[in-house]
Amino acid sequence: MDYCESARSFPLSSASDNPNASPALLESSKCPCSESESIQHSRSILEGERKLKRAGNGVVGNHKVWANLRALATAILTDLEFDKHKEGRQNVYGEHKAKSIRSPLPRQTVMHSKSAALRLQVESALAGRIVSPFRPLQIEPPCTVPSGIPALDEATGGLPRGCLTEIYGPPSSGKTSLLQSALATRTANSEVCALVDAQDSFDPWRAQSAGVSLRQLLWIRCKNLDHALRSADLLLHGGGFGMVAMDLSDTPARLVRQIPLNAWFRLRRTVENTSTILLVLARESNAKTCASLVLRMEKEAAAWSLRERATPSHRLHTPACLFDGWTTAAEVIRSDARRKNLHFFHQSATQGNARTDLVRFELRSNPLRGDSLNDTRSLPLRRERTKDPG
Amino acid sequence: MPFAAIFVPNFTLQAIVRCEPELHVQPIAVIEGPPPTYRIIAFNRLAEKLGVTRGMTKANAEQFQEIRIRHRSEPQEEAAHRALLDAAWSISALVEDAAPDTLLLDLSGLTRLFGTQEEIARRTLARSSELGIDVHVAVSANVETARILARALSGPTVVPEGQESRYLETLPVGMLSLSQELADILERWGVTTCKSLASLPVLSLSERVGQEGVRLHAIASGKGNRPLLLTEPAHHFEEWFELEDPVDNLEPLSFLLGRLLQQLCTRIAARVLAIRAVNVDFQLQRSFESTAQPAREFFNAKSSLPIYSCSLKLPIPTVDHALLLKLLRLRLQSKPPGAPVRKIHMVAEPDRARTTQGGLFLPASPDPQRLELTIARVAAVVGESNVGSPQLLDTHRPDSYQMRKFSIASVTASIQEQQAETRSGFRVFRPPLLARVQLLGKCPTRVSFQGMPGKVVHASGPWRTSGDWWEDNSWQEDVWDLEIHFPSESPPLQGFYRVSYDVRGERWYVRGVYD
Repeated sequence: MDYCESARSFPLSSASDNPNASPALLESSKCPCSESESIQHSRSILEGERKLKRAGNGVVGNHKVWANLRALATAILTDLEFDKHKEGRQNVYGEHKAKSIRSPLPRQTVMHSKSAALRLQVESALAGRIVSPFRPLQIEPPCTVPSGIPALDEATGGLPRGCLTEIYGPPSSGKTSLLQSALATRTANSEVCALVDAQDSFDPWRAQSAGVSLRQLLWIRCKNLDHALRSADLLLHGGGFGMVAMDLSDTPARLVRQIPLNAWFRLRRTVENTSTILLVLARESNAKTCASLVLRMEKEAAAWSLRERATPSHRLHTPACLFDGWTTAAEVIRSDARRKNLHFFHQSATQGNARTDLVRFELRSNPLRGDSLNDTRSLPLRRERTKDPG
Repeated sequence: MPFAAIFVPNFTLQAIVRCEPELHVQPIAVIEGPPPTYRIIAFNRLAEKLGVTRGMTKANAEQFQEIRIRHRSEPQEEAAHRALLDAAWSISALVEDAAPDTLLLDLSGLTRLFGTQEEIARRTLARSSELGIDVHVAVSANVETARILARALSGPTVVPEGQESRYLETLPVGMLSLSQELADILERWGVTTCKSLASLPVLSLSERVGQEGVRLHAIASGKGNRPLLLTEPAHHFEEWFELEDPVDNLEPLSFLLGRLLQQLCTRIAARVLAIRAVNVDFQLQRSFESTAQPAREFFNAKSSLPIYSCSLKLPIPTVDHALLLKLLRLRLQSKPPGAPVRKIHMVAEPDRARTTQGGLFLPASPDPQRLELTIARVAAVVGESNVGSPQLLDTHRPDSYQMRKFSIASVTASIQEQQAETRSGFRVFRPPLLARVQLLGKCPTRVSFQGMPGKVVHASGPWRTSGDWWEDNSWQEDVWDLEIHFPSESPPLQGFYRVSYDVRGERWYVRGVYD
């Protein structure tokens, strides 16, 4: 049972007892359930909370919701039970006389009813300005932008703004290629980007050939992990960047593991509610739940092409072999955008693809151009690609 | 045609107090002269109440415990005079630099801009007080009358046209700036006030004392007028500050720098300009301690005392003194002077203020001033040379680039062609990693670097590159693209590496990895 769903259908306050409540508040707070159903709902809410606590899977961030629901359920139960105690004989004038309560109510239930009354007062005071002030804030799904790789954008929905995106994988898995593609896309959109290079491994030549506008890229060359974290923090607090990328791929994994989780949480909170994309590259996944999008990259088949030269050379290998590129696979480990976007699941189901979180795309290291030695075979055959030049 | 005169009373003292406003409420005296025969030349009212007099020696003045003694500073007087000129130029473009403590302004045509003559006088007072200078202002149709009344009367004085003689009649003739000889003559005659001088017959006066007497007679009558000798507006903004005791701590130094920056920004803003660059020279105290070693490159060989220079260049001109102070502090934190500071000389380069307007449909970009501050903070962490945007060099040498200062002004909307294919990335090893390579024939079969032995699965190459053969630092190397498998790693790794053989050094290097 989705306890949150049942809680939403149940009013958070009993406004019917407040004579000063506005009509709109009264209308919205009318319980659609009967008395017995109200009691059943309240008890199920309390039971549900107890079950969650026993399982140890307390939903982070929903504690306030549960506290409110518990107080409300207890208050309603108390009120209903109090009403039962109140029913009495009808006198000759048709007036009800309240029976004396045989046993005093426990102090906790009295306090809960008082808190419910207080909540009701606050809601009625804010009724004209804020609708349901005690209702959890509706979190809008983040705005996403293309990463420059269509296959990946189709699987993930794009890179989310105002969120932390983590990309991890071993060397030659395609992380830097994805970073370059994202930088090229953002700089093409006239956005200013920043790259925090923890081990000074950025190649500006390759980046420019991939389409990155170097004039719009602020490159910070760090010597160690501490400098990288501090620089990233300063950049995020400065604000205004379309993308801030922190490249920890060459940093030893044992050092990156030592970054405390609150540091990742702090980075996520800093970039929240901004239009900045925070991209982190590493060998392993470290940000855990702080990342809204987590991608695992893995290298697959490489493409080696053969180009026979017209005249053999004593100095060079014959035939000459070119490294054309390789195929990489990206697995979506975690995606908040997909989780909240319900229609995405329906779409993936209708496509008939068993694994919608795995996507493959090719990375090319050498452009297919005409050889300067007048190579007659412009496109090598598939069977020759796997031939080992020896 | 109205004229205004600005006079700074006790100019020598005000030039010093201008940079130390806290001295306004303390008794202060200014001394001058060769050591040890210092004599007091100026003092404020609080010091006068204590009993300080002009010509008193420094030793006598120091008997008053509350008194603060400062040396006369000509650079600070020059800076105060220039600040006064800037205030005057912000009111009128026609200014005469009559004396270090006196300026004359032509107020023709300013009524529509600033209002009545009273309002102009009050505005002049306000502008001057923003710069930390208390002045007297007098407005009159006669320039000499205005000049004399500014010296004689405090606060704003506006003389209605035709009543100049009435304002001058009670003033002593000494206010007319006459020669000593003529002053003695007039004293013998018993002429002590301007009224008595104006009542003398002009013809007889000219026969006795000549044309100077005629001129003084006209001035005393409120009729003497002359055109202004205009001063060209100068775009030179500098401030000086001499410290009595050397400062070796950044906090009090920042406090002083903040004041100087505030003065400069106020002066430049009054001229409707902004600061593009700031150069600060610190004159250091020569120290004989081994720990205090100022950097040799900042030594000025010509001066006897070492000078530490620090400059700030802004991508966009600004008059925000708080921002400039933060940038200066970050610069000093990363590169401290290394010795106590005795004197500060600050020069600001002016430029037109920024007039660009953002667009509604342009992507958000960092605020230029805030970005400058962020970059300065990051540079304080990683070093100034490690922050910027890369600029590729026009050469075939591998990994050739230079870092240039990142500027938001250089960011322009670029229409990039959408890449049909995704280009692979490359991670450079800086410096290149030394590798051991085992060859079979001429093809690498095993590669070992950073303690990781690997087997070559695929090889592409060699591709020879060379260049700059006419230079001393020429290069020649054979480059391979290798797919290397590292079975001993946990888990086993496999990657695409670029390995090069340096022909001149006869060594193998791993240049980077495709990623």
